[in-house]
Amino acid sequence: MLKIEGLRASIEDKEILRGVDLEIPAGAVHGIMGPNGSGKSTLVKVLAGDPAYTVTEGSVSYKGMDLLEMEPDERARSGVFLAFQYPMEIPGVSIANFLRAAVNSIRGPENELPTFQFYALLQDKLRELQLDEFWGNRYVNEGFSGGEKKRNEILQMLLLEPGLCLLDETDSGLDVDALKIVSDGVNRMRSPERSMLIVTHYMRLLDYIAPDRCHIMLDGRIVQSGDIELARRIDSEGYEFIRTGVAETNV
Amino acid sequence: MEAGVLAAEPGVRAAELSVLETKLRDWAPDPELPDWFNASRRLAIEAYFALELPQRSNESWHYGDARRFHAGSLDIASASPGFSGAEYERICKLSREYGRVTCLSMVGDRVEELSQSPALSELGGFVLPLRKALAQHGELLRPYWQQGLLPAGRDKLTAQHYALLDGGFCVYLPKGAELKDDIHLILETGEGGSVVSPHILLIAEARSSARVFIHNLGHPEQERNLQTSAIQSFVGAGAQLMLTKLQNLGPKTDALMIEYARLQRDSRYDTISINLGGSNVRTEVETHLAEPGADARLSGLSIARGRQRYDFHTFQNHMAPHTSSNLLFKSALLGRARASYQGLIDVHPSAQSTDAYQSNRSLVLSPDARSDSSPQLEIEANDVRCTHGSTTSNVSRDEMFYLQTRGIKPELARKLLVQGFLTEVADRIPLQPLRDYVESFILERMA
Ligand SMILES: Nc1ncnc2c1ncn2[C@@H]1O[C@H](COP(=O)(O)OP(=O)(O)O)[C@@H](O)[C@H]1O
Ligand SMILES: [Mg+2]
Repeated sequence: MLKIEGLRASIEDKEILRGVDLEIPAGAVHGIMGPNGSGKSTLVKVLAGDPAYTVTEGSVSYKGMDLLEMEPDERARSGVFLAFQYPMEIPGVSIANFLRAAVNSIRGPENELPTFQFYALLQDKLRELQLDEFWGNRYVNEGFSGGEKKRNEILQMLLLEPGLCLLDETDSGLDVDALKIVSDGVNRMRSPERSMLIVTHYMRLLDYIAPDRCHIMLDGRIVQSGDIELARRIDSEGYEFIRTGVAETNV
Repeated sequence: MEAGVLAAEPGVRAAELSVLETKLRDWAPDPELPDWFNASRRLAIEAYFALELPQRSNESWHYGDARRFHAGSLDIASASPGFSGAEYERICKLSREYGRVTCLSMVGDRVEELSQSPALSELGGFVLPLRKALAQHGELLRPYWQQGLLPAGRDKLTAQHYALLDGGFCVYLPKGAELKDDIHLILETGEGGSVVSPHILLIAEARSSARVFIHNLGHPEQERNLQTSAIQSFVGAGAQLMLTKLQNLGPKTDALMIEYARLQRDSRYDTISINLGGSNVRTEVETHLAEPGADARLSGLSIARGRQRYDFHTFQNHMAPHTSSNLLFKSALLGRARASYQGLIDVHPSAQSTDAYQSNRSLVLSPDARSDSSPQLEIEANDVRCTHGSTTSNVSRDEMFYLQTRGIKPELARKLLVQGFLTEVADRIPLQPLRDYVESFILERMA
C-alpha cells in the first residue's frame, strides 16, 4: 500500500529526514513515536506534499503511484489524508462550506453530493464525534481550543474516508473523553483497504487503537520497529535505550 | 450673472466651453425649487468655473487622477439606457423577495417606483426623489442641506457635483420613527458619453432608526461615462442609521462617490461601502462625530480586477468626548487592479475618552496588482485609545496547502480563501440575500 524508501527531505537547506524506510501494507495500522524534533511531523507533511519541504532523495509509492510526483490535492484525491498536529485557522471560511468543497473535490465532478445529502452526512458525522449541530457554521479552526481543532481534523477524516490516514499527534490536547471519542472514530475507520500511520507520544491512544506495528524515529530516521511492546517500553523507560542502541550500531 | 461666471475664469472664452459647460453657463433657476436651493446651485456653478482641478501634487490626489472625474467633455445624461439589464433584474428580484421595502430607481431625474411600503408615511416620514422633496419640503430640508458639504470651499469636483446635481433621493425620518421596513434606492448611470450626478440626503431625527440600501448599477456600455454621487447623512441624538452601498457600475464608468455623515449625541452610524464594478472609482467617506456618545462603524469591501482603480479616502473626525469609531476596509485585487487607501483619524483636543480604530487590509492576488495604504493619525487629546494599521499580502501558502490536502484544487482553494478574507466585512451586510449576492459576485469575479 505505502512504501517509503531512502526518503531524505530538507527545509531551508536543513536536512530533517535523513533516509526514511517504511512500509505499511493495506489494512495495517502503524504507530510512530520519537522525541520532539526527530522529524515525525516532517515525514507526514512530506507525504501530504507540503511545498515548504524539498525532497532530495528517495521514493514514496502509494497504491503503485509515485506520490512525490503529485500535487497535494492530487494526493488527497487519491486517498492520502493528514490530520495535522497544528491545523490551520482559515478565518471567514465556514466548516460546512469547506467540507462540502472537500467532499465534492474528492468525489469528483460526476459524483458531487446534492447539498441536502451533504448536510445529512455532516450531521451524522457530527453526532458520531459528539459535536453540536451548528459546528459547521463556525469558521475553520478560528478561535478553536487545541482539542476542538483535533476533533475537527477527525471530522474531516470521517467525511473524506481516505485510503491512507496520517494522524499527527491527534491525541495531544484531548481530554480523556475526547480521546475515547476520537479513537472510537479511528477504530471504526479501520478496514482491510485502509492503512494508517499514527504519530503519538502516548500509550493511551495506542492501547485504544492497538497498532499492528510501532516504529521509533530518531534524528530523521526510523531506527527501530517492533510490536506494541516496543511502544510500552518507550513509555516507561523513555528514548535513552534507543539512543544507546543507535550509538552502538553506529560504532 | 453669466458674465460673472465667465469672469471667474478669465482665460476661458465662450467658444472654448464644452456642451456641458455651456449648459452650466446658461443655467437658469428652477422656479419649482426653493430660492435658497437655486442660490446654492448658482454658487456651485461659479465655484466650478473658478476652481482648478486638483493636481497630483495635492496629497489627496496622489493615487488618483482628478481628470477622470471631470465631466468636461461629457454631456448631461438624457436618454437613459432604460431600467433593464441582468444586474437591475437581480437587484429588483432581491428587493421583491425580501418584501416590505420601499424601492425607488432613478436614471438622471427619471424615477421609477418599484414598491412603496406604507410604514414610513405612517410614521410621518418620507422617501422621495430629491427634486420633489425640495419642492414640497424645502424649509424642512434647508438647515440640513446647508450643514452639509460646502462646494466652493472644497474643490472643483465637489463643486461640479453640486453644479450638475440632477436627481437622487431624500429620506426623512421624524423623531422617534423606528422604521422596520428597508429602503432600497437604485441609481443608474446614463448613456455612453454622459454624466449623472445624483445626490442622496438622509435625515434621521432623534431616536429614529432605519436601514437604507443604495445600489449603484451600470450598463455594459462601450463608451466612457461618469457618475458623481454624494450621500449626506444626519444622524440625530440617539438615532441609528445603517447604510449599505453596493457599487456595481459598468466597466467604462468612472465614479466619484462622496459620503458625509454628521452624528449627534449617542447616535450610531453604520456604513458599508461595497465596490465591485466601475473603472476608476474614488470613494470618500467622512464621519463627523460631533457630540458625546456618537459611534460610527465604517466598512469597506471591494474586489477589483483588470485595470480597475479604486481610491479610498476616509475621515474619522472625533470632535467630542466619548466618541468611538471603527473602520475596516478590505480589498482583494486581481489582474492589474490597483487600490489605494488614505485614512485620517482626527481627535480634537476636547475629544477625551475617544476610541478609534482603523484597519485597511488588502489581498494582492496577482503580481501586476498593487495596493497602497497610508493611514494617518492626528491626536490632540491625551486620554484616547487609537489603533490603526494596514496589511498587504497574498493568500497564505500554508492555508492553501491545508485546503489542498483536503483534495481541493488550487483554483477553488484560492476562491475560498478570498471569500473567507472578505467575509469579515460581508458578514456586516444586514440582509442575507444581499450577502449571498455579493458572495456569488466574488466567486464570479475570481473565475
Ligand atoms: N522552517 C523550519 N526551518 C528550519 N528547521 C525547521 C523548520 N521547521 C521545522 N524545523 C526543524 O525540523 C525538525 C523536525 O521537526 P518536526 O518534524 O516538527 O519534529 P517532530 O514532529 O518529530 O517533533 C526540528 O528540529 C525542527 O526544529
Ligand atoms: Mg510533530
